[in-house]
Amino acid sequence: MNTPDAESPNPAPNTPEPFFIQDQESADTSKLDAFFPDPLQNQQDTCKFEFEIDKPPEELKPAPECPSPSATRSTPMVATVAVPTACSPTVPQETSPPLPSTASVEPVVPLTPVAPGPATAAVPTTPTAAPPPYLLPPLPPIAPAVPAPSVAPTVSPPPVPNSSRSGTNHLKPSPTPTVTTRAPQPLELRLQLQLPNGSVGKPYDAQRTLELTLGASRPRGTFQRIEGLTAIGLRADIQADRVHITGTPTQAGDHTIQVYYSAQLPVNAASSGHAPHQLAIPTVVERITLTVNPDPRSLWKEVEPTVGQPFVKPHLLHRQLAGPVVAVGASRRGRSHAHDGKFREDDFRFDQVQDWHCVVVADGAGSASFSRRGSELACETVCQQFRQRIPQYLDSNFDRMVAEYQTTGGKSQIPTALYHVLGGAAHAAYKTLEKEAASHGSSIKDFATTLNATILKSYDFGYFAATFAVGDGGVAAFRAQGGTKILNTADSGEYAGQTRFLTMADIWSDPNAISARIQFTLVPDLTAIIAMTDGVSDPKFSTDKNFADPAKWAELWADLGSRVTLTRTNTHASEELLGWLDFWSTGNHDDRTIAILLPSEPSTTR
Amino acid sequence: MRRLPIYLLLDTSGSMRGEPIESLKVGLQSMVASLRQDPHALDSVFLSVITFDREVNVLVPLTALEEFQVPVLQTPDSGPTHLGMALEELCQRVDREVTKTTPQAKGDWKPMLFVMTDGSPSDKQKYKEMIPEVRKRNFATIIGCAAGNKAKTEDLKPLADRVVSLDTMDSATFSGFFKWVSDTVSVGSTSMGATATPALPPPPHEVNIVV
Repeated sequence: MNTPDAESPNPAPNTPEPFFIQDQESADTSKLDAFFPDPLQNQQDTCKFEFEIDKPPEELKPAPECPSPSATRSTPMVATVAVPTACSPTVPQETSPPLPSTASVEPVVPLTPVAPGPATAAVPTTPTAAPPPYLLPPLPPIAPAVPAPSVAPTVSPPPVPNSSRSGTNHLKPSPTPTVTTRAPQPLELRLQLQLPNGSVGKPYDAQRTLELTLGASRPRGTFQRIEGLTAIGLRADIQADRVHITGTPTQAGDHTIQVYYSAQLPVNAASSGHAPHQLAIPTVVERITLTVNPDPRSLWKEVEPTVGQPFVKPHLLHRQLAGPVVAVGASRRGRSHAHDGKFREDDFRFDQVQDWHCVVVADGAGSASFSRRGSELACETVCQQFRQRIPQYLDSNFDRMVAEYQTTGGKSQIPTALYHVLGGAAHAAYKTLEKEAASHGSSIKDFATTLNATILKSYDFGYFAATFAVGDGGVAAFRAQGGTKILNTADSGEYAGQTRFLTMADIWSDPNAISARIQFTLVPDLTAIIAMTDGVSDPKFSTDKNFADPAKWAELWADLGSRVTLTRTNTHASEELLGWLDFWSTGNHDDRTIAILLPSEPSTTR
Repeated sequence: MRRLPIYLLLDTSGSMRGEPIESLKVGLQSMVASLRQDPHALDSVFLSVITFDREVNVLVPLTALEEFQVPVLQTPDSGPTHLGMALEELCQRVDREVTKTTPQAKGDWKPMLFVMTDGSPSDKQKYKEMIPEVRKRNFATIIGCAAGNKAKTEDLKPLADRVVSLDTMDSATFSGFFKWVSDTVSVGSTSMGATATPALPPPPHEVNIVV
């Protein structure tokens, strides 16, 4: 067949074809008044986006106890090691280099904690509770008579712990070691170790090399062990100065872990003629923080809406209609609404009017207090309107126009008839919501909802489908063999959550804009009409470009097929669809609705 | 997924040295810990920390809450408070980091901005120039926080939708403030409005709303 298989009845922007106006010659004009909007009347309505609020302001949860700063440091801890820059005259004189061997230092150098922390000096080999920083007492064997070997760099007053940016250092090495008596100035031996955050249930893999700083110098060291990991499901593989932490975290929180390492501090004695040597610090322990995020799935709660609210709606809904076209649909409250004890705001409805099959989905705005009623009433009204309007406008004359369109591609009065049926029904829904709002003494904004209404008829030469849409979400005539047609253009703003609603007056101010919201297609074969709210289209398509990509629709169809037997004979399809809707997608927890029409083969072979 | 970008502009000028800066850090930590308990936030919040003193430093570019680590905050001994410069940097960051909806991309939620200062901007001219620029960035909300008795709430009013003041700069006060920030962000991550500032949760007693 040679039919152009999809066309929008809306005129091109530069050549407005206000077919509604053309239609004024027709005998039906008077009947249009019910939905014929007066553009002048609404002239002052500015076209604007409103945010669809997906989730309500939630009740504020108490914050977890704020851990004390010392327990939550995620920045490198500081160990302060006091190294003498000059020696006190009372210190025993060292007569010959080399300076103290590591062996001699090891047993006599307890790491003395300075405040805060236990006042007891921890022995290096048993650093059970040894919070840094530490003061390393001056080494006894260094003598003043011999030009003192300076630990490079020599030091000015210690910086305030924590106030230095990582990797920078405010200490200026003094050009020459001073020999005047001066109080020992501590240098900070710092472990530069920052571990990435983990998440419960997600594999963790971090490799780090031991990095130490002492003033401007970078002492070498080796890891000894890391404590506190096994309890949270992690393990550390240590190879000298490298550590590889792996596993899957099991406990959320800011975990304190103890890193044990040894260090070799460089002592530069060049100025005194001594060979450079190293001072070994056998064991230093530092506490660092490893943050593990909770699994968001464990945080979502299922909260019932408070009793006594109007417009109670079940959290789950699934419906199935048998017939020449099988209709299968499901809708479920999103996690975000469940978490906040809100109702489902989505809705959908099927209907059959003569040979026409109807599917309507609506997404109530999260920002609107009664949008759950708005979406319900919109679906209901549109279907009721179809019952009146389809027999009136989509008669045998319309069938002839479709047949003509199939052969010549001429649209004839098809757009006009669709305007009456789809545009008229949607406008009636708008008016109904206005009345509903008034009867409850509230604004129509409180009933804000999107709307996607589609009608489908099977002809012996193919399938004719037409859609009126306002808002996000979408509808497509899905063709497994290729040639899927998108039947709507989603209204989306610059930022997430911005869309337009059926309930906005300016939607109804311009007949051309209304007709632009109607699209139709005639396809020789059809797998399904698939309509959905943004709770499904966001996670499954993400962008408008993807939504227009037939390949993405094929993926969706395969995805559906993995959980749902979408055949005309499966009587449990809608239940299965409801199960499918519970899929997990990070950041996508809105209400979800999907409604599908499964047609039979066309009545005659083509 | 839809991201909710949160920008924190923090004063690290010399007057913040000592207890205030330590308290600020404690406050930040409690804010992050609190946000991590909120599944909405955990799935959507992205945080950026920009400090200003004589210099402006982007300590943390926009980072997922899941990966966020509280940065080391450092203060110089003294010097000016270049809030205007910070706003300039902020605008550049927002332009680069916040995604708007296009056919190819899913737009972020409108970003939120929190500005904390314990003084007043030294670069007043620049600050004045930048206010309309910041406004153009379509923040869902801008909260100004005047911390301590030297902070001038008047200076923040032209910039912020809402100005709060903190009488002291101890850790209890900052924690109270940041708890409120996290509550505000939580509300923001669940309900955003383009036409209105998101409803703010009631502040704790440490935080005074400046009318």
